[in-house]
Amino acid sequence: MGGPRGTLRRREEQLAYLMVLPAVLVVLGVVLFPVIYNIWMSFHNLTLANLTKGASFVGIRNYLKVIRDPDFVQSLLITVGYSFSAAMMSVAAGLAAALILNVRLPFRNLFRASFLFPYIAPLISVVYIWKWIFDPQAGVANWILMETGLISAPIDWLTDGRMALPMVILFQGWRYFPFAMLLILARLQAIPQDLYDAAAVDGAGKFHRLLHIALPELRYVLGVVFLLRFVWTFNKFDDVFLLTSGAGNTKVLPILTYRYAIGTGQLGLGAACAMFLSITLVAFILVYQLRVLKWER
Amino acid sequence: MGKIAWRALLVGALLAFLFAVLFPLYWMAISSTKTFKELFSIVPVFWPSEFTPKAYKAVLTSPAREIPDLLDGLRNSLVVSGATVFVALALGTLAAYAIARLRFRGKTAVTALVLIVYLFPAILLMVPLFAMFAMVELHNSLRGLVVAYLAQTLPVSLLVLGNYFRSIPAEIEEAALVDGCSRPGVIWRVTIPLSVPAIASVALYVFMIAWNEFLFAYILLSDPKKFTAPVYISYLHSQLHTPWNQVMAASVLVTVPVIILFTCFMKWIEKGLTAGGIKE
Repeated sequence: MGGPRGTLRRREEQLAYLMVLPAVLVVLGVVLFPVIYNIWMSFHNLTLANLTKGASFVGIRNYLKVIRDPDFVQSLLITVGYSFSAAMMSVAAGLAAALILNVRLPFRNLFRASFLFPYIAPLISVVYIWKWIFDPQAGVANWILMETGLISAPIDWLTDGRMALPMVILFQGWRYFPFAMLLILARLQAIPQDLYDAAAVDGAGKFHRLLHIALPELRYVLGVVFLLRFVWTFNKFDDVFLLTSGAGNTKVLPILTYRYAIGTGQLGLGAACAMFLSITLVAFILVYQLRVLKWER
Repeated sequence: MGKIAWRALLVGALLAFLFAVLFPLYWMAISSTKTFKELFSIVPVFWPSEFTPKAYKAVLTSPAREIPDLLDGLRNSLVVSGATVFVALALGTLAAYAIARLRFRGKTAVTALVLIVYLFPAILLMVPLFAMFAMVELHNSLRGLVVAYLAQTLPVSLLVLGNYFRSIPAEIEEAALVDGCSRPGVIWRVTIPLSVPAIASVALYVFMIAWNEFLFAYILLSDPKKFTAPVYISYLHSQLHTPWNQVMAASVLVTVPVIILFTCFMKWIEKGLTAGGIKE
């Protein structure tokens, strides 16, 4: 050590610490610490009322309480089912949109840009557009469906016990298909033209080429997009909160977490509920990676 | 299938998508300019007989000082989003560069930290941040909101910028160092100019996250004058008889900046959306 090289190295190290420190402190303070605090809370009977007075350790009682809550089991089932369907829908619609845009069309870029609207627009705007279109009294959807004879009486789409959940799923599919579309389109356009040409020479029709060339090439990207969408939907709070506030069988786990912690101030229960959510998610991701994406090979 | 059948299927699907995407946009715009009578008429009006700017006037000018209007909301949103972008980029660029390029003890730990916090499910932050803000009384403060948004955007910024800095050939920087440029000089004059696309796409991404964010703004802010635009709109909607034309007018005004940003910087935003750094 020592000598000009050593001092240079040391000076670089000092500079590095200066540069890293602010970000590391912020990340530790507002991400890592809160997550550890969440784990701590889940083992204490913390409420908004005893927040600063010191809560006592209650072991796994919060977890047991959450599990025994009939709402929780129902909520878990709903969350899994709805995340799966919503992810499927956005991937399927995204695939369809990508296939359309992969054809040489006039105004292709214009179509592509307008397809992105649901994903780019602020959530608050698109949610309220939906609420207005599907308003039970003055909504245009009820009017169109009744005029065309598809329904006989107006439906309260976003609070009805049978309709609210499908509506939330439909909304998610609509809002997030552009994300899937972009990723799938990028992969589609990377498929070499030779592959199609060779198949065409062999006499393969369009449908055949789609099924046997494009889809196998897309397998991986479809798997990844589905995983991302599933995980994000599972975590999602504000879409459902704004759309239905949990009415009509749409009380998904993030909403339940919110109701425990913020709605009723039982922070410990909320923290335990969030832990269940995270553990389910991590388990799902691990299994999915091994089984579907086959990353171990 | 024949060629005509394919064409028909393609055009049909295209039209269906266009309708699904554009009708809501159209309905928002048209509803915001309708008179009350046409807004709630039994047979919906698809093209108003008269366009009125009433709803826009109503949301932009509040009747009294204590009552917020959308201008307050937009201003608060702009302040919070701008501050979040500035802090996330400043801290993110510095740290990501050091992690990507400089040698220091503890680098492995910092790299691991960045990846771990990036992978945390966002829902794990809801309860603890709420409790922490209640404790330190950062309730009802726009500054507190910026902190909450940093928790959601800084990990992503670190990851995306770090990956980008690593992709810049080290030789370019070394040449400048040999020429006698100091390390901070290299970062400022060589690396940052080369990274404008990545920095811009991170900036836009962070801005849109903060601009669109609802949950934390909703739980943390109680003073109506401090509402961000999304919270203001939800407050408009929560009135006993929802003034739908006003809700739609406010929605238009919140959406327009995003659409303008998007059309101006389409390339960069799409890059950010698909770069793999995205996280919701």
